[in-house]
Amino acid sequence: MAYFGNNPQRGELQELYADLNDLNFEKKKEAVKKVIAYMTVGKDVSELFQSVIKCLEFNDIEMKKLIYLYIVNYSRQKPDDAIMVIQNFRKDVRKSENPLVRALAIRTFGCLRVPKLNEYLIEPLKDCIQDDDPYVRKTAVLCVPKVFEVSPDICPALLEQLQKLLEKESNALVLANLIQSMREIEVVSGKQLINLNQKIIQKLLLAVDECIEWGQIFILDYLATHNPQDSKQAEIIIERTLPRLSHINPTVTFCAVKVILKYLDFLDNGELVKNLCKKVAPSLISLLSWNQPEVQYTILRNISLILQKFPILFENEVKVFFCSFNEPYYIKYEKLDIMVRICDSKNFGQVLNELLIYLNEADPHFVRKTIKSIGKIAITYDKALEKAVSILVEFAKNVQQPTEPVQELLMQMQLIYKKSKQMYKYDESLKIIYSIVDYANEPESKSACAWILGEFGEYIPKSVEKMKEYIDNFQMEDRLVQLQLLTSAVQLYLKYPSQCATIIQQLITSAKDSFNPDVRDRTYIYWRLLSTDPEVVKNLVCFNSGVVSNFSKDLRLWETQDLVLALENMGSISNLFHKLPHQLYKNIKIKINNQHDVKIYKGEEKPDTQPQPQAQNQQDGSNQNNKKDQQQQQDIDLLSFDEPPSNININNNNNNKTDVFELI
Amino acid sequence: MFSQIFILSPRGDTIINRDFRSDLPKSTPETFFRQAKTYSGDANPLFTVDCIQFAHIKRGGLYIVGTSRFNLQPAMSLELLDRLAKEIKDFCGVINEEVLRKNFILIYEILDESFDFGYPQLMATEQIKPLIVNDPIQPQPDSVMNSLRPKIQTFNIFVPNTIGSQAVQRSVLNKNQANEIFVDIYEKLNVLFNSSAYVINQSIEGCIQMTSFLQGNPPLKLALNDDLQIGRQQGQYSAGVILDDCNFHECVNANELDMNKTLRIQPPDGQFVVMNYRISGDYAAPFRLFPIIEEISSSKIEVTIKLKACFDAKIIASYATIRIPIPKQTANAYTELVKNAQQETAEYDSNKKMVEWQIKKLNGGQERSLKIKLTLQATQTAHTARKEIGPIAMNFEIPMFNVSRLQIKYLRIEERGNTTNPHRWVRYITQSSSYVCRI
Repeated sequence: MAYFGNNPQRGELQELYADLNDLNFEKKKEAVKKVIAYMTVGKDVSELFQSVIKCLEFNDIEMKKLIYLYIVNYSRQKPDDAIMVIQNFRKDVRKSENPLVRALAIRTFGCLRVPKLNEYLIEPLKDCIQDDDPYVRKTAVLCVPKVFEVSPDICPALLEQLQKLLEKESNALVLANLIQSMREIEVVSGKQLINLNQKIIQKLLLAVDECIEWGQIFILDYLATHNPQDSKQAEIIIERTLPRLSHINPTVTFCAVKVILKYLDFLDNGELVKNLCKKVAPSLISLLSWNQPEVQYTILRNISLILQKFPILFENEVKVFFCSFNEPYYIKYEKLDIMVRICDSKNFGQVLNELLIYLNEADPHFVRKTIKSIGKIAITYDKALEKAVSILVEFAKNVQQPTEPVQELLMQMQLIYKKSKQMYKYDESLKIIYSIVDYANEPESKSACAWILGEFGEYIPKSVEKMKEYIDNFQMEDRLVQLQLLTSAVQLYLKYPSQCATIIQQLITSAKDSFNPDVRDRTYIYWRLLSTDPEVVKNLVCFNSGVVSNFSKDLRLWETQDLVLALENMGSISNLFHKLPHQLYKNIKIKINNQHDVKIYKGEEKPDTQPQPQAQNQQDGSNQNNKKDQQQQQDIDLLSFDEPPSNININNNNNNKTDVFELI
Repeated sequence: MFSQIFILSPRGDTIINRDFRSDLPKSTPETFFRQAKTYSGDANPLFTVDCIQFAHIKRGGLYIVGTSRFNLQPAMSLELLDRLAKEIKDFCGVINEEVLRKNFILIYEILDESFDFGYPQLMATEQIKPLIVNDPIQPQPDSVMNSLRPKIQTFNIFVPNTIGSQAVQRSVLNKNQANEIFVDIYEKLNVLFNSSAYVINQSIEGCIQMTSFLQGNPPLKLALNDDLQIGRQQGQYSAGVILDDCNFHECVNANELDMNKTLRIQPPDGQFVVMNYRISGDYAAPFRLFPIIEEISSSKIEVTIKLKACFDAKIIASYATIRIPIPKQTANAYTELVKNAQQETAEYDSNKKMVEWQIKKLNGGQERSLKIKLTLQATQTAHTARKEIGPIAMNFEIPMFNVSRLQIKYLRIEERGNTTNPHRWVRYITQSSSYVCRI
């Protein structure tokens, strides 16, 4: 840590050295302070170690604090010198009348992190764990994981003592620290240390009431990882946790929510579950209204996770997630996302009406997200389809510039038409959408336009001219657009063979030498196809998939077995990223969870549509079905050529290379 | 939890650096500062570099940073840093570079009591006061901020029983302070109107806040309305004050709230929030806005906005500001107030395309109006441009008024035989949080 030029001048060190060895106590104290100041800014004052240590002989607590700070910083650099301090520590721990000094010594001792010093630590530490003063106990308890991390092999006796302490300890703060340090050792060692029994749970629950807020967090957080024996126990724990829901510290509230949601699974009484949900929801909503936006954001991110398992919580509360105009953009985006998730057959009208208003906002990104959300709702909820489309079409009527929202609009319309082809008739939507295709300037939106052109060529006036325009600029387009153009042009050719003959030739000539292998391959495969029977090609390319019933976009964030793990980590940073902890950190080991069956808490049954939860239930039982569906989905993709199935293409190319030239 | 906590100056110099776990490289402060400087504005409160989580807040230009290798709880980390800043402020009076440099030893002491092994321990000023031995060093005497600094008692002889069983410990107070207590009821309103002044969505976020200078911190009893009810049942209508939800400070015992609507409070020193509450039910919005838009010709639009104060005439709202966004294609805008309007201004900001209407004072029951005449650029017609007008947002503050009708019936000191009768001050303040009218 020391580098050139950053060391105090030799003269300075010497001066400090002289002051430290001065007989005047005040002078010594000043010198120690100076040493600490140097240390803080990163200058190397380790040379003074011995002189500093000598000052320990004074029984002055301020001086002690300073010197301990110094020792902690340099002990690993000078382990041999640090041994000299041991006697002082032991004296402090054993002889001092003042609990503050005892605690200070044991705390500092733990921070030395020198393996060979730790054996001297065991005995004093044992004494401290049994100290009469809770302040010393709480410090000693936290000292154990510090030692365990450096030298785990000398710890078994200490761990036993911790377990004993857990049985008899009554001070809330000590208990909180005890739980936290035992948990940490459990994580490091991978062994179970805490044996929760009825008595200890009772004690912990009592401690939660008396503890300071951070201690409450430790204990609640721990309880959330526990699996209760039976419904009765779960009920007790929930009951004792309920008052924490109205704590002013958002983390305490959130931990309480976590505990309650976890234990709901174990309750037998359905009515009780419903009542509890009614109690949890307001607290979560309150977290959104009282805190600064950063905290709100973390809560929102977690709500979208909670929603997957507990749709019941917010079924009547969609209004809470309406954006207000002065919120930061990240809150707005998150709220939009949640509104889509919360949308169901009962409230889709309300949600869509609200989204409709957002379309008038000035911020183009926000409007874009809004359009995406409307599209998602249209695709996911059959009942909402018509209303959503009418909103989008209305928006399209007023488009005058190639703005960002327009790009999104075109993309979403493509998805909607894919889901239900009949929608093109609705409200003259096709005509209106087609009138804005010239405003497309992103690859995705352009490819959406090309798709519309190919799919609905017969309903669009002058579609062939438009296609020619596209093909004239073929070389300039993005790969994505080129691929879609190929498919669409072939589709159009099959619909108007005579008018499109020149176009298709022009296209193949310019595309067959493309640098992009996907484009080239697709060109060749169409080329070859066209040279066979046009009827067969028509069946393949203009495949009418009818209504794709299984199109509902999956709004689930997690697979079921991951959901359990994610819920356990509720509130942590990994959930903020919507990731699992081990995906984010390499140093975290997880218990593999094979629990496929996750209870979903829905509100009253809505007989007509249960789009999303049903998909989940299905997944548990019938994986096979799912696979079949996936297969089907892939087939459709194959035919509309969203994703080029490249391997098939290549094979075909090699076999029939000679035929290729017959066409032109 | 936290591996390190450090405090950096605005230039990136380390002022305080406490390493709790020694599991991160010594260069993390530099890593942090380099990354924080890559943001164009303020750095994100939380970011990750090389698997290290950095959480930070900025106070007095200084970065207060916590680092971790673990799966932090983001909300909690920020809350912790905020509390730490509050503690430092309580002890040193202000947070700035000079003060922190002078008091760095004191701050190490605070850090050591507040965190152990990176886990939060005692984090309330009252709790750690007895454990701190250093006195704060004041940089310049007699500044206003310093006079507000709480006086700190130094204990060289330690009193045993460091941690009481109660969550919040009382501390010995200075004798020469005035014996008084202030209670504020703040309410922030969220209201959303549609164009015909019909309320689409409304809520109140309120809090009861106390600032206590009571000698000896006696327990208090605070009584609220008799018709108070907590928790809203679906489809239930009641004349009383219904809170959807509320939460309380640690020092508050709310067990009797349901029974006789009283809170028992063991007040700590200084300012604290007794209770937060949230109301989503209907209430009479204090202001109503009536916007009227007329297309005079294809390039001219006239916007008339009427404002009505719907509260008691004795109450006066102050500093009401109404902002009306107007079309981007506006060439010109004239504002027209009612003749002989007093303490009222309306200005058009051509950069922001916004009309700002300010009313310094407005008595209840009064009405005001504003007319805006817009001339559009040739490129846009009035018909499409009118969609760009709005939403109208309003800011205001109304002292001595609250919408929820939540009231403090009495505030008593529970100890009998207390001869001095402290001064009690109660204020009600209503503010706008998001008061918006769509067009």
